[in-house]
Amino acid sequence: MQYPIKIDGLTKRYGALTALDGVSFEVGKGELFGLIGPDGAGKTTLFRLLTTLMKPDEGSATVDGFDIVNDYKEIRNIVGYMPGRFSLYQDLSVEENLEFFASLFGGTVKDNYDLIEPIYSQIEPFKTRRAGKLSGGMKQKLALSCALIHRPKVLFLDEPTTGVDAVSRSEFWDMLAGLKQYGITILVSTPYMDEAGRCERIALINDGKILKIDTPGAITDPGMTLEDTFIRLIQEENAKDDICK
Amino acid sequence: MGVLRTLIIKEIRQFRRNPFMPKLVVMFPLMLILVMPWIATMDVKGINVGIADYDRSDISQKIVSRIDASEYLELKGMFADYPSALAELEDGKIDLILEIPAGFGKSMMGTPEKVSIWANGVNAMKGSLGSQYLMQTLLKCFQDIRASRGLSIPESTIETVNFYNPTMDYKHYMIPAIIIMLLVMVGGFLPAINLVMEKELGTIEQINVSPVNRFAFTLSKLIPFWIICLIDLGICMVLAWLVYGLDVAGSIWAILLAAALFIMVISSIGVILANLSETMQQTMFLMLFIILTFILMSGLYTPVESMPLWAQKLAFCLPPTYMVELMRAVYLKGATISDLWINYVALGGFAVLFGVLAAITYKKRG
Repeated sequence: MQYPIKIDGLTKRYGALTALDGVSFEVGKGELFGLIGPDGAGKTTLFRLLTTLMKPDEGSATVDGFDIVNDYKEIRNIVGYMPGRFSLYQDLSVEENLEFFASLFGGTVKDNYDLIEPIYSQIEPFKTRRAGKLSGGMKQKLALSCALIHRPKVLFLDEPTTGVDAVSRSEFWDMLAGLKQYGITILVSTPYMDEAGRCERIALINDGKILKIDTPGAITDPGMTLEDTFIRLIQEENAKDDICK
Repeated sequence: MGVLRTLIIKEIRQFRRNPFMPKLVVMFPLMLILVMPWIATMDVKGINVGIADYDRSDISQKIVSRIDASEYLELKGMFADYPSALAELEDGKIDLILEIPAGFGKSMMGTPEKVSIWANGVNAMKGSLGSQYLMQTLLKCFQDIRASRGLSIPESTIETVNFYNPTMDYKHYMIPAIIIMLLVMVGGFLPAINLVMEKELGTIEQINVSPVNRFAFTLSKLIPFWIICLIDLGICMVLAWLVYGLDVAGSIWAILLAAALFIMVISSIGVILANLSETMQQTMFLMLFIILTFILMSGLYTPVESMPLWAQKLAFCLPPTYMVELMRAVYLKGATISDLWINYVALGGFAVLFGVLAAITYKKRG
C-alpha cells in the first residue's frame, strides 16, 4: 500500500540549529494523524517542508507519491495547508476569500461545496463580513474551508486550534473527524495534549526528533496521563543525551 | 488566464477597500502638479544689488531707478565707494556690486566709460544669472538714454532666442520631469508596498502552496498599478494644460506609449526589491535609495551633459534617463516616436529585462 505521506530521515538546519533531525514516519490513507509537541519542537518546519515551502537538507519525503523536492508542482495541486498564523486576506469578505482560493486552483466554490458544507454553513450567515472582522473560531472555520475548497488529497493543519476557545476547538475536531468519509489524509499539529486523544495515531516530537509513534491509548503509560508520559519520555531522552556527552 | 484574472480582481478589491490608497493616488498628482512647478523653478529672483556710484549724475540716477524697477533685481543700497560695497557683499547682504565711474554720465555723449559688475559666486547660479540680468538691464537703459538724445544705438547687443520654450518658462520645463517623478513614486512604491505586505501578513504563503504560476502572480502585482499610474498621468496632463497652459507639442500617443513602458520598468523594479527583502523597512530603504539615484542622475534636475563622463555613462544605464529626455522632447519640442526610437527601444528593453527579473526573483520556495 502506498502511503499518502511518507517521510524518511528528513533533516533541516537553520545555521547551527537543527530544527528537524532525521524524522521518519508514514501516514495511511484517510488517517487523522497528530503531531504533538511543545513550541520549537520542529512541527512548523516539518509542515513547511511537506508543503514545498522549503527544501530539506537531508532525507526525503513523498506526498501522495510525489517527491517534495522534485515534484513540488504536483504536490501544490493536491495539498491543502492551513498555516499556524491566520493568513487569509483580512480585507476581503468571507465569500470573496473562498471564491479566491477556489479559483486559484482553477475551480469554483460550487464544485466542492459538499465537502465544506458542514463547516462553511456555520459562517455563511456572515459571508459578506470582512475576514479580519471575524471572531477567532470563525476565522479558523473559514481558513479550513479555504484549505479544503479544492478538494485536496492531503490536508496539513499547523496548530489550527491555537488561540481558539474550548467550544470552538471541540467543534473543530468534530469537523476533522467528519472529513474521514471523504478519504482525506490529515496531518495536524497541536501543543495541547487533550486534543491528541482525538487523533487516530500520534507522533510525539521534541527538539526535532520523534520520540514515539502510536495510537493515543497505546502511547500513554498505564495509570498516567498522556502529558505525564510525554514529560517522562522527554526526560529520558535528555538523560540519554547527557550520557552521550 | 483565469488565474491572472482572479488575482487582479483580488488586487482591485483590496485597493478599493484600503481607506488610504485611493485618496492618495488622486491627491498625489494634484499636489505635485499644483505646487511643485512653482518651487522647482530655475528662475532666479530677488538678487540683491548694491551700487557704488562715483558719478552722481542724472544718468546714474536713471540707471539706479531702472534697477530699482526691475522684477528680478532688488536695490539694497547706495554706497559712496567700492570698498564699503564690498564689505556688504562679504557679509552676504548683497549679491552684486555695480560700480559707476566718475564722469560716466558725461562720457555717454561720446565714448562711454566702462561700468563694472562684481558678483558673489558662492551661489553660482545666482551670481551668473544675476550679472546677466544686470547687464541686460543696463544695456536696455543705455539704449534708451542714447535714443532719447538722438544718438546712434550701439549694435553690439547680444540677443538670445530660446526655441521650444520661448519665454524660458521653467514651469514648462519642469512639468514633464514632475510627471516622471510621480510615475516613479506611485509606480515604484505601490507594488513594492503591496507585495511586502503580503509577506509580512503571511498571505503569500497561501499563494506559495498553490499551483499559481510565478509570472501570473508577478503580473497581478504589476497590472493594477500600471492602470493607476496611467490614470495619474492623465490627471497630470489635464492639470498641466488647465493650470499652466502647457499643451503637448507632440502626440499624446507618443507620451502614453513611453509612459506605458516606463511604468512597467519602474513597477518591476519595485517588485524585485520587495522580492529580495523580508520586511517593509528593507524594501522602503532600498526603494528610496534607487529613487533618489534615479531623480538625481537621470537629468531630471541637472542636464546629463554637464555631469562628469563616468556619471554620464552611468546615467545611460538608468531607465529614467531615456524617459526624461523623451518626455521633454515630446512635450516641448513635439518630437515624434520615430525621432526618439532609441529611447523607446531602450525603455522597451528595460521593461522586458526587469519584468522577467521580477518574476524570476519571486521564489515560492525559500
